Amino acid sequence: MLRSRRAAGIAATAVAATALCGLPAQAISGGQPVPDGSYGFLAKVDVGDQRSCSGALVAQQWLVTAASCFAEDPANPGSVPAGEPTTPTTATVGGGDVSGSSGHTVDVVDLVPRTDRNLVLAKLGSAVDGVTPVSLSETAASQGDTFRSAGYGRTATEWTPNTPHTGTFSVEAVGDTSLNVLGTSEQDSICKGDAGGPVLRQVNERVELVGVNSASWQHGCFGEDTTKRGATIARTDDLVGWVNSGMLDLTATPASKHAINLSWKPSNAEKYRIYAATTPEVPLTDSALVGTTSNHTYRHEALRASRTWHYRVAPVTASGQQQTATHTVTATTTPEAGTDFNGDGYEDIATFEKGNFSVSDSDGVSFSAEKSWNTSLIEETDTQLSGDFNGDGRSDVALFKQGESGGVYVALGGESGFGAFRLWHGYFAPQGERPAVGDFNGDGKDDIVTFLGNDATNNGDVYVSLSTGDAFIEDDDKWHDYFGLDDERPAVGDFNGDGKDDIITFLGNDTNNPNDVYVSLSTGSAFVEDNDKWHDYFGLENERPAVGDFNGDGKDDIITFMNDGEGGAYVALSAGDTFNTGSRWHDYFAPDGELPAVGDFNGDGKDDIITFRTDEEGRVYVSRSTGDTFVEDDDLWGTGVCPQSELSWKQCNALPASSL
Amino acid sequence: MRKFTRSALFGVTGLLATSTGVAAAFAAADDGDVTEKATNSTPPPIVEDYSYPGADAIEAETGIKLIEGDGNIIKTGCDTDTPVIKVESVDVATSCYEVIGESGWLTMEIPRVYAIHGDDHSVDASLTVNGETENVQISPGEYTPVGEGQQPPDNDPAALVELRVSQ
Repeated sequence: MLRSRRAAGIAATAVAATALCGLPAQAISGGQPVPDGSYGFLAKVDVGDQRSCSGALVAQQWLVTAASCFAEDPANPGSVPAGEPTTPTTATVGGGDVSGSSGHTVDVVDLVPRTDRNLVLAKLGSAVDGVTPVSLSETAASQGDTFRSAGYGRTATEWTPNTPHTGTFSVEAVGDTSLNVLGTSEQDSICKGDAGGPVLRQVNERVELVGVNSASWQHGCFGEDTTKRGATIARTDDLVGWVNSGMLDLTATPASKHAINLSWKPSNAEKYRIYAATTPEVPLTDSALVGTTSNHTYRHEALRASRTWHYRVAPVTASGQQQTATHTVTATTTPEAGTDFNGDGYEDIATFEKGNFSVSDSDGVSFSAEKSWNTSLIEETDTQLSGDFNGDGRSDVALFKQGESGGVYVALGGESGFGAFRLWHGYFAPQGERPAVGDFNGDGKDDIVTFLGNDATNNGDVYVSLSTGDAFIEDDDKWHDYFGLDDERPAVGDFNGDGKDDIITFLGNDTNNPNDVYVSLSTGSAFVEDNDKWHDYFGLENERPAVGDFNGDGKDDIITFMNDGEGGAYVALSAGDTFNTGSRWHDYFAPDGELPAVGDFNGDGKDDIITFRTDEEGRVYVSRSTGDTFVEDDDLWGTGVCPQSELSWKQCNALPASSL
Repeated sequence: MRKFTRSALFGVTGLLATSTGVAAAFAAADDGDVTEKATNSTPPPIVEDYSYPGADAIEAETGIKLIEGDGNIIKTGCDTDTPVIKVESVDVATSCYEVIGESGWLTMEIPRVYAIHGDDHSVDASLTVNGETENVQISPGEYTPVGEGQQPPDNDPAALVELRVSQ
């Protein structure tokens, strides 16, 4: 009995305390629930289980809300990282009762934060149809203006209402990025959960967005007993350009070894300026301007492999006015598959002799002295090829034991040398088949391919073995039924620039289709069998054709070395679905008896040509590509590479692999 | 994902009506200048963090520490016709909690609780006894002794740490 009497007495006090908190209260809201459907753009934003906010739909797939909802410390909203929210977040759009099924609940997939005020642009996982977004006012607020604020936050009596409320507020002061407002009555207050909710100006029959709820003293909100009144609003009237450019949704994706694709959403701009830099800060200056287009895509070409680029795009109106640029997006070109063994961006050269192999590093202007690695594994009947089999940006060496076991051994390239040769495939491309290397599924790890040619039982089959990063998958995966027969010369390259290597064959002296060139594109899991002729006169019988991206547009081209006393070199550029006729790019390079090959030795994103002379001094010459010709300057890059008197087996086994 | 389901709010409205009258008396007794404009300093953030509204004031007033919840279980006055969960303690005043809708949860620290009276829901109460958490089912409308309200040897002091109502 004693207990309950005492308890009853204190209970009365508790009621009084609750009442005091509830006193002047009608929170955001002024006790005015939002009539169902009248603010369809209004959203409740749930940041995991930990937080909730409000927001406003400004386009079918975009909300504005407060940055504080996503900030580690909501009191310091300036450091929200761009991109996917760190806590899974949903938005329920529709302005109705969020406990019902009337709203559209969608994931928030991307954040574009402001750093100068409490605001983010949030991209939704899918467009919200059937809801009219709120339009953004471009008219700045003035002192004394009255606006209506809305949100799903606490009211005077409810902690987590399922329906939104509104209240009216007058502007006390106008700052650069924010407004100070005060409820038009003591009952009008902005409460917890209202962060990011829209602040609206009534214009005739409709409303326009002037800002979002940022912070508040929360006078009269459920459970609050402060006597301070007032709130701050993050302005949006000066962000129309920023919101529009944010909604361009600029993305950058690596297209290939030497190109990055940019794309964005259509807008009403006349054209777009593309700014690029290798630094995270992209200046909007002429020196960083890499292109202008009226399309919604742009391909940035002739880039170095494994290089990171940062981009911003600025819309330009019909009157020539440049609008606010987008935020920065970033992409990295894929690693060069060629012979860049140490990953410095310059392709190197390697030679193989009985019992050892040697590498000369390129520094962009010449080759260093050879460094050698001993291995008893190397035999005369091997085929040596290079590729980045583990996708670390450094090329590796593969030995195809064609004369014996049919095994494939890989030595991984490192910053300062090679690991030991290890068996990656037990049986691939045995004697008589023609192996090659390429990234056929576009996963950044080079794979291997073998052309069976005029094999008695598997005539023209092409098998691919994909790399897992530490082995080649042994699954006898046939990618083409009939390609690269008899005396044809098959090879590998990314001819359409989609990041997946394709196959090509030069028919040479074929009786039916002499000198034709066919390409079969990779789908990522097969080569398309469509007899697609890309050139009808290239790589003749006694010439030496090869593949390379000579203009650096990310699409591999073809070259043929005349291989006669005259020594001309012709290039036919890829247009993505065909090769152009071709033209002479060098008057005299790698005449009869030399070993010409292709690689980007100066790391400018455009493949150059090299010739191993195999003379007594072992001289190596490089002719650099300018994008439309090769520089004819007899540029000696190295000596002592495959000197004639020191050749094992009387031939120079060099990488890059010599032309066909 | 937190899912709030709530069907009725009439109970809260009833509370407001009662409270406002009491509060008006407090306001009248004050200097008259009840509120102030505050524009010189930065107001606090308004992200809903599910911490109990006004928890500090309630603790100072009553000794009851309310921590966080989903908003669907709130402390209310005990003098009400609405069904409430009534928590009785040796140390602090009896307190009452209203469940809004079908489900909800609220974490708290109420020392030396000896009985919990159920409302019209089936309630899971978590209590800490000798450093270990025990769950007690409170049936609708039933008076359930806990902690020191039980017969020896089960009458060690118990602190109520959570009320949870599942749908």
